[in-house]
Amino acid sequence: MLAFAFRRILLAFVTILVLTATIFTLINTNQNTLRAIAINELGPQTPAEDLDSWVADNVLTKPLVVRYGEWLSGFVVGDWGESAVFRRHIFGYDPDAGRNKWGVINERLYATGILAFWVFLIMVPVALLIGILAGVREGSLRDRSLSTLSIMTTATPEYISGILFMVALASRKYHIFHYIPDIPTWISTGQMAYLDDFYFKAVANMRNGISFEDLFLPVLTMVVYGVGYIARMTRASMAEVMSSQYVRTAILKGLPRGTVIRRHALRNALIAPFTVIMLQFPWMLTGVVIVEVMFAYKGFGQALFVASTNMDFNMIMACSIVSVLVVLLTQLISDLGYVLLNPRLRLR
Amino acid sequence: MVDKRTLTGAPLHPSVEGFAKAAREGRMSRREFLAQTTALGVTATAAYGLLGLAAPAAEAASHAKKGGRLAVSMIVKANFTDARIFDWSELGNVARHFLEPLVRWTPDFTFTPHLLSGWSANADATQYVLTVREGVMWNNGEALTASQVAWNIERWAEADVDGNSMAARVSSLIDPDTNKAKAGSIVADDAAGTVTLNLLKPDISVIAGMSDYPALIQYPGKAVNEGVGTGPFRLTNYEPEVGASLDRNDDHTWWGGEVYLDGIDYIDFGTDPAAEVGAFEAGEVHLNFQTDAEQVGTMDDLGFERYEVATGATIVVRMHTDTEPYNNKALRQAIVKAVSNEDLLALGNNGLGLVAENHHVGPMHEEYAKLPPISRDLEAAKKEIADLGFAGTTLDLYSLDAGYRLLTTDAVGAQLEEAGLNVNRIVMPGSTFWTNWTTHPFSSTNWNGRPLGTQVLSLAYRSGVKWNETAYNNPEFDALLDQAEATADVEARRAIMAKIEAMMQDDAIMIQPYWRSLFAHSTPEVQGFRMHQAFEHHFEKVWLDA
Amino acid sequence: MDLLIKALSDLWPVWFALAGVFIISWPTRQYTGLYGKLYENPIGLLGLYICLFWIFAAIFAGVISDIDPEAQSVALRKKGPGTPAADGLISILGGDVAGRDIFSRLFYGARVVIPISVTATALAFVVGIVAGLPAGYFGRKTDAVLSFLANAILAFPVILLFILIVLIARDGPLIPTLLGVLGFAPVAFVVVAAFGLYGKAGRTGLLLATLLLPVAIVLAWILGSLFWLLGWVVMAAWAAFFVTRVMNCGDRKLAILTIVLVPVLGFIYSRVAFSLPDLGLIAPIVAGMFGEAGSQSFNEIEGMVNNLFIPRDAALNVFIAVCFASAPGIFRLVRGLTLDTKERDYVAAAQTRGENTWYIMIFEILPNVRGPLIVDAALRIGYTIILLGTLGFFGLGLEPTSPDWGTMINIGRGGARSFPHMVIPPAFALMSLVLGINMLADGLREMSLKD
Repeated sequence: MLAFAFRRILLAFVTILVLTATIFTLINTNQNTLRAIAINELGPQTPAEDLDSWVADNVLTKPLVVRYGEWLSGFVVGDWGESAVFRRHIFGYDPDAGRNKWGVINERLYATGILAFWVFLIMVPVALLIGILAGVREGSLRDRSLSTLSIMTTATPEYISGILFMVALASRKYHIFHYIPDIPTWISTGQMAYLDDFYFKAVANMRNGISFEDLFLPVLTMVVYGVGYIARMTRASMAEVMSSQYVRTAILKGLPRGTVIRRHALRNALIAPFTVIMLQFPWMLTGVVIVEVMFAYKGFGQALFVASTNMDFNMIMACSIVSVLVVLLTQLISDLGYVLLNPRLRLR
Repeated sequence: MVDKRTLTGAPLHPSVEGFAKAAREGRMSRREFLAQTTALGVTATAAYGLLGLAAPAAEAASHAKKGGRLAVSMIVKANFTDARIFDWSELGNVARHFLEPLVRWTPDFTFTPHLLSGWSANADATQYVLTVREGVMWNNGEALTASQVAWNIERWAEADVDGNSMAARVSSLIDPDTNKAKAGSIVADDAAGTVTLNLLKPDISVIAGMSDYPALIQYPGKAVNEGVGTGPFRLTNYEPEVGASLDRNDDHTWWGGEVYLDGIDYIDFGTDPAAEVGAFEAGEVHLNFQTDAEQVGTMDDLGFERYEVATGATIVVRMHTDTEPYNNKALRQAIVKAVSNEDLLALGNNGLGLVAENHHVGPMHEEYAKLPPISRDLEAAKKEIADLGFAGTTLDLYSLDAGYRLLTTDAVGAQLEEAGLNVNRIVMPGSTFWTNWTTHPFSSTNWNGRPLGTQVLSLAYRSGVKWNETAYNNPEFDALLDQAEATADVEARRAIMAKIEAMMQDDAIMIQPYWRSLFAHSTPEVQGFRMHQAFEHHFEKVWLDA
Repeated sequence: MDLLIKALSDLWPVWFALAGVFIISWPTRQYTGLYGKLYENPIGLLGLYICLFWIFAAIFAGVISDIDPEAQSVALRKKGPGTPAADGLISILGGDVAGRDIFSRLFYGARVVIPISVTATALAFVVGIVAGLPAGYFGRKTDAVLSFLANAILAFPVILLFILIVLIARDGPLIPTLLGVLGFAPVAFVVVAAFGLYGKAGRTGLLLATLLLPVAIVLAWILGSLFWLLGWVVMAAWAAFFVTRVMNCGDRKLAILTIVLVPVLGFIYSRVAFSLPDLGLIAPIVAGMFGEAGSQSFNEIEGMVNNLFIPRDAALNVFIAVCFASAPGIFRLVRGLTLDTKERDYVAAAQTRGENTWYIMIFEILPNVRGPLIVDAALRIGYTIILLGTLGFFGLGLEPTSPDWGTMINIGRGGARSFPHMVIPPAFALMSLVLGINMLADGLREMSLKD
């Protein structure tokens, strides 16, 4: 077990090395990306010759390998450089940094962490419930309708549901609350009224921390796309367990169906969804970029997008590493968890 | 004798009478006249008076309410340390509330003294005397002195500093040998409160240059983000890509009197105009920096107040005349003929602006000469393209990836396809697009307006200049342009411009479809705001009618 | 209501085609295997018909829409459904921000979305299979190296991968390199498959045959524009060599198939990978033989061929990005299935018979895992469509004038809250197609489980 984890971690390091070296080389050998880096310092509409001479003086001062080495050694000790777009140190706590003592990555990961927390908190129970309800009686009407529902949500990516929610819930002109009766007013005045002035905001403000309204639409949008997949996996797993020998035997023995499901089926049925849920983190990274850009939520995804469209070199490297780490870490947890949860594998 | 018509009481500058005559006879636009004369030290009231007009009354502020924080949607840029190297008006907007300029360019296109109480120029515009306003205090408790102003001007003249765009604006002070201000050219007299500028060559643009957004007066030795300034607000937060906040500085007495707002919050919603509309709908902001032309209708519909200003800002869809196949003049002419500038304005900028005529000089310039109107001739264009053997040729057409630049260029593409060409649209985000914008074979570029018609021509179309994105190389054009720049008389200059404009149209180096109008929107409670032609924010007298 | 009726009646060719398919398929469902069985599964059937709807809509886009999808008209700009357009036509869904008819763009959009997603998925599958089979079968070092590569790519969040490929690599050597590598997979697959059938003749033959093509690719970079000629010479020599080997070994039918397949694949490969002017060479000949009209129709044919094989810059980047992103997932699937299957008796039997390893992989293992692969393929096409939309949403994808749904959503979303008619149609189009594909995949899965 330990050896397995150790090997995986070692492999993760090699992966990160290879990937960062690749990106480093790609960016540093392409004239256009180098010029884009210079534009961050010299401004747009700078003639190409000036950009090139800046690059020659400031970037291409040493051989590529040496510069990669320097970057790597800085990275290892936590010096991730300064962001060209955000004009701040990228990572860690710097007591001398004026107002923003925490790095951009730290702050943005915190904001995205909160978003992700709520997404998972809502998505996982809902998905498991749908999956279990559907999988317990395979082929029933309930199963059919819940399955169709989950297929529908997986066919609704964030950029579609986000826009639909934006129109239906957050547009002054077309929001659905125009058609929802305002019951308190109706009761108190006797006049039929609608919730015309009630609608959500389509942008996160985040001036005073992260509020419910900042989170509502982003979380809703992400949950809708994510819930279906986990639900389907749970359903498949549940259905398989329900048709397995030991569950059938337990039911035939005359144990109450509910007890069988709770005691015998659920535990085994949740192994597969667990790995699927862990593997949802990489998916989240894409979703987070879409949702954060769409709703101007200032988190990691939005920073990643801004950094890459502005060729903010240090930020791109930092974001890549963080993303890769998230993916590798969740893969590791998923694998370890699979081994731990699965009694058959535990014995080996 | 004190002349009431000038800021300092000095006699009226000799050229003012000539300008007034030109303006009265319609040879010079009113706006141009106001800018020219106030730059020479004439008061705004007197300048209007010379035209026989009354100056617009300042907004009566007696009913202004105090209190409230103004929330403004604006991109918050990096590089907020040294005003002279600011490269975006957005940077100036935040700084302007605690750092002030010597001179302000008003939304009426006049120049009014701000940290100066006035200035005067000698007859040949080689010597300026700037009088520093009395009673201006820094927010650290010191008084503003003439030598501090001189310190700032000297820094502007340091041409070797990377990105110091002020150097070009005070170039008449700079010694070409040292790339610094020539010794003795800036003389401060703290006792009299004056700074005398002895220019190396005549220059009537000095005062105009001092009103630009990087020309903010900083406290010697303090960076912008340290917040030491003369203005009525105090910087409390500045975070690029996120936002900036300013509070009214109640510990500091501002020379300009009462300020109504408790504070200003700039919030950065990114470059996506949809997010900004969302912010308005959500009640997150009161005002924006600029309304994207596509969103103007939406914002109007939603019941927000519209502010508008017509400018010399424009877009050109230009061809690089050194590159195949655009080195073929006949093809270029056919391409220009194949598009309708009216349609491009309607499709590309929501119809908001003024149709232009492919020569980058317009009615906002005094020397503009009206040429016979141009129009689309699809059939002729189609025939010419076919005759030249270009039917079905694929042209790569580059542009930025959003907004009016995208839509306008798309529209050009669609119209060219109607004329029998095949257009392959290539869009890039800013970081990629600007890496070689001058050498894209066929692409669109946006240009800001400049007061004089010859300025852009000289920046962008003279043979061999850095920003010559068309690779236009026409000695005849260069000669005419030199001649125009040396001709002071507007009438004579216009005659030369007529030739230049016709030449540019004939050479068909670009489609310049329209002049853009600029817009902003606010919620109804914002009072006293005026849209500025250079996007400047002056919020000292803005108040919220909550 | 009138508009709905008009929309439905404009879609007549699609309804006819769908009815035709049903009329033919229903009575013959007993004889059409897996496809026929779908007719017993309501969800799968509905999914199938949604997919067919969009396929037919793409095919008949020219008939369905009477307004040019790329023409811009001031009259239609941002106008809502039912706005009269030029020539007395009615714009059923209104116009977009650039004054283009949304109804037409919807169906022309299907023409962009479906071919790219299907071909990109197909190519990704071939790559995944070509790499996954040996990784699973041989294990050890082969597996370690290939798995490491796949995991490294998978560790990269898709969106970052896209941004990097599209933004950084847009004019570097990366895209052609990737195309060269990915595009080689189908050729390699045919080579390996054929060799598996006849390969007892020896490994050197395989080695030579597979190596010659990469040699041609290297020549391509060295010789630049001259390559297309040289490349073809090398390719022809290679094909001749290969075919003689095949002929010696027996089965004529497969030999002929190889003779046909190799040049066709080679042509597509060189066309896609290097946008070679193959047809350009013929153009003057055609013009000489048939005059003006001949060369015009030739141009049209060439345009169609070009669109089929996606040589346009922007689309090519997208194609490669999508392919590159999905191949590792397929690799893992194939590898896993191979690991599972290689212990089976029939594989052991084939090994004892002394069959060639490539034969075992391709003709024993692959057909036996086709069930999960088919289901995965369907799901993955849906996922690819979503990815394409994501790229369009970020403006990273195709040309801004392209009617693909992601780009339409991106262009329209700026005004979504005031002009929802600009984004809701493409959103529903994309959603319905992905839904249809997922339902079809679900149906197929149930079918295969029942087997």
